[in-house]
Amino acid sequence: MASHSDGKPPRLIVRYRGKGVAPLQEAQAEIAKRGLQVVDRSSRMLLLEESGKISSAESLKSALPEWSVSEEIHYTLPDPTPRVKGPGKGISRDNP
Amino acid sequence: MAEDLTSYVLLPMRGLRVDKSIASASLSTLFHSLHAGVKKVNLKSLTQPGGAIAALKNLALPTLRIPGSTVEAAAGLVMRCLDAVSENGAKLVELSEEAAQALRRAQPGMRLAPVLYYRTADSPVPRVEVKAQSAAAGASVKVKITVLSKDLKSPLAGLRIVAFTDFASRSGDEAITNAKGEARFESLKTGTKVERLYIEPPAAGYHGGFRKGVTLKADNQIFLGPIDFATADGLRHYYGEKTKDSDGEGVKIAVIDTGIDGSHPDLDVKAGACTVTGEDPEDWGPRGGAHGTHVAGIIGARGKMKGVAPASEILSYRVFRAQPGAASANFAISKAIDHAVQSGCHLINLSLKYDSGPGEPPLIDEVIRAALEDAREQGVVVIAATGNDGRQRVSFPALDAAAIAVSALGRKGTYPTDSQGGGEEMGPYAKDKKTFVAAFSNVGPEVDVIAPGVAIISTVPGGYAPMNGTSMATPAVTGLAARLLSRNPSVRDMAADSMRTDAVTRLVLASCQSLGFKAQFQGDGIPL
Repeated sequence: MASHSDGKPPRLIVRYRGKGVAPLQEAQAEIAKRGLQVVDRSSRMLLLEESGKISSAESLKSALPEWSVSEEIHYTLPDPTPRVKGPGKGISRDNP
Repeated sequence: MAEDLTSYVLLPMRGLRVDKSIASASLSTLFHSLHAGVKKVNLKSLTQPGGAIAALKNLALPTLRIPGSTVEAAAGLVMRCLDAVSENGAKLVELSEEAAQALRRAQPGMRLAPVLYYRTADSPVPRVEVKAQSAAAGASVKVKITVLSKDLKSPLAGLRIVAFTDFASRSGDEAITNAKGEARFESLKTGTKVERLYIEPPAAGYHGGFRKGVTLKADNQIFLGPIDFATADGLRHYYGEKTKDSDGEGVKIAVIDTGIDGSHPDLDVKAGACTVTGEDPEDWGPRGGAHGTHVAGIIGARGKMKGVAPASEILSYRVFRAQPGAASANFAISKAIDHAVQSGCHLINLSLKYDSGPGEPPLIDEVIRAALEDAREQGVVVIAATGNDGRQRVSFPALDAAAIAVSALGRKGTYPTDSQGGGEEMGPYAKDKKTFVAAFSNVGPEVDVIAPGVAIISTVPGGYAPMNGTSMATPAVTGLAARLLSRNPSVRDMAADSMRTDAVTRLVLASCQSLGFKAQFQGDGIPL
C-alpha cells in the first residue's frame, strides 16, 4: 500500500528523463526557488521535502520540462503467509 | 476457427511511437504494417527464419537456440489490429495468450499492455467479509498448541500460528508461541474444527508446519522437522544436477532487497550500498531482515548449499530500512537501480512489489518505470516477482514490460508433506501430477516465466531456512540467466546497451521448457 511516512506531507521525486548527464545544479536552483529541500540524490534523481514555504509540483513540472515529478511511494516484500481477517462461524471471542 | 482473444495495447518499450533511430528494423516494420482494418497479421513471419531468427543471426549469437516447437507453435497464430494512434504509434490489438507470448519472445523491444477500464467514482454496496460470530457450544475450554522440534523435542519460541476455521473467508485466530513453545488462542476452544493450520518456520534450521482438518483438543502438540540437504528441494530438483562451479563467472548481479549477510560461510558478497534515505550508505548488511540473504543464496551460494550460479558476483543493495517489516520507498529502489547500472551489473533481482489496495487498478510507478527504462537502455536485465496475493493480478514492477515477470511453482516430494509447502498445493497441476502453480502466486498475461518458489531452502543469517514466495522463484531465474550468460560469453560481453538487454532476454526465454500450464500461469515455461 502506498504510504506517506508518519503522516508527513508526501516527498517528491524529480528524475531526469533527458539524454546524457543530468543537469542537477540547474534543477536545484528551481527547487530552491520553491522552498523545497533536497534530502537525497542519485545521479539522475533528487528527493525533495517541503521546508515550510510554498511548494508546487505543478510549477516544478513546467519549470523542469525534461524532468518527471512524482510522489514518493513505498514497496513491500511479497508475503506468502495467509492472514486471518477475523473470527468465523463457530468461534466466540470473549468480551473483556 | 473460434479463438479466445484478449485485447492489448501494443507499444514500443519507451513512449507511444516507434523511433526508427533506436528501434530494431523488425519492430519498426511491425508497427508500420499494423493499421486499423488489417484483420490478421500472421506472426509466423516474426518467429520463423526470415523474421526474428534472422534478426538474431545478425546479432552473431551462434550459441543462441530457439526450439523448433516454438517456431511451429507460432505458425498458426494471428493478431488483429483494431485501432492505431498513428502509423508508427500505439496499436489496439487482439490476440490469444499464445500469440502474445510468441510476439513478446520475438520482439522484446515492445510492450503489450493490458487494456484497462475505469468506473465512475460512486459508492458500491458494502460487502460482508467476515461471518458473524456465534457462541461455542457446551463446556468448551480454550486451546493451547505447543510447537516442538522433531529431532530435539525442544520448544520453538516466537512462531506465529495461524488457524483458519473457514479459509475461504479467512476467518479464524492467530497466536505466537512463547518460550515454552506454547501458543494460547483467544477464541479457539476445544472441539473447534480448524480447516487449515499454518505454523511459520523458525528463523533457521527447521521447516514450518501445515495441517488440514484438525479438531482441537485442550492441549495439542506439533513437531517441526529439521531441514535436510539430503532431500532435494524445488531449487535443487530443477537446477542442482546441472550446476557447475563456474556458472555465473563474469556476471555481475544486483540484489535489491533487505540487505545480505556477507559473513555467511556460503556467500561471497563483498560490496553494495544502502540507498535508504538517512541511513549509512555503506551499511548493506541484513538490517531489513533475512529475505535478501535468502535471495542471494538462491542465486550464488557456494558452500554447503549451492546456488544456481555459484561463481556470479553479487552486489547487495539494501533498500528496506533497518526495521524488519518496514516498506521500501520507490526513491531508494530507483536509486539502487541507478547504482547497479553504473556499477556494471548485467542483472538486477527485484523480489519486491507494490501492494495495490483491494479493487484498485494496478499501480504504474513512473519513477521505477523510468529507472527500468534507463537500465534497459544500458544493457541491464531486470527480473521481478509477480507477487504473492493468491492468483491475483501481477504486481508492479513485474507487470512492467521492461522486467521479466516470474511466477512460482511447487513440486510434491521436495518438502515434507506436513510442512508449509503443503499449504501451497493447488491446481493446475502439470502432466507429472506433482508440479503445481503455487497457491500464493500472482498470475496473468504479464507472466514471462515460472520457477520453483515453494519451501526453497537457502541461506539466512545464522544458517539455512525454507521460504515460500515468488521472491524465491525470481532469484532462481536470475541465477539461471547468470548461468546462461557465463556459458554464452558472446552475449555477456556485448556492449552494454538495449541490444544486450534484448539478447539476454531472448536467451532466457529460449531456454524455457513448457510444463503444460496455460501461458497466464507459466509464461514461456521454466528456464532450464
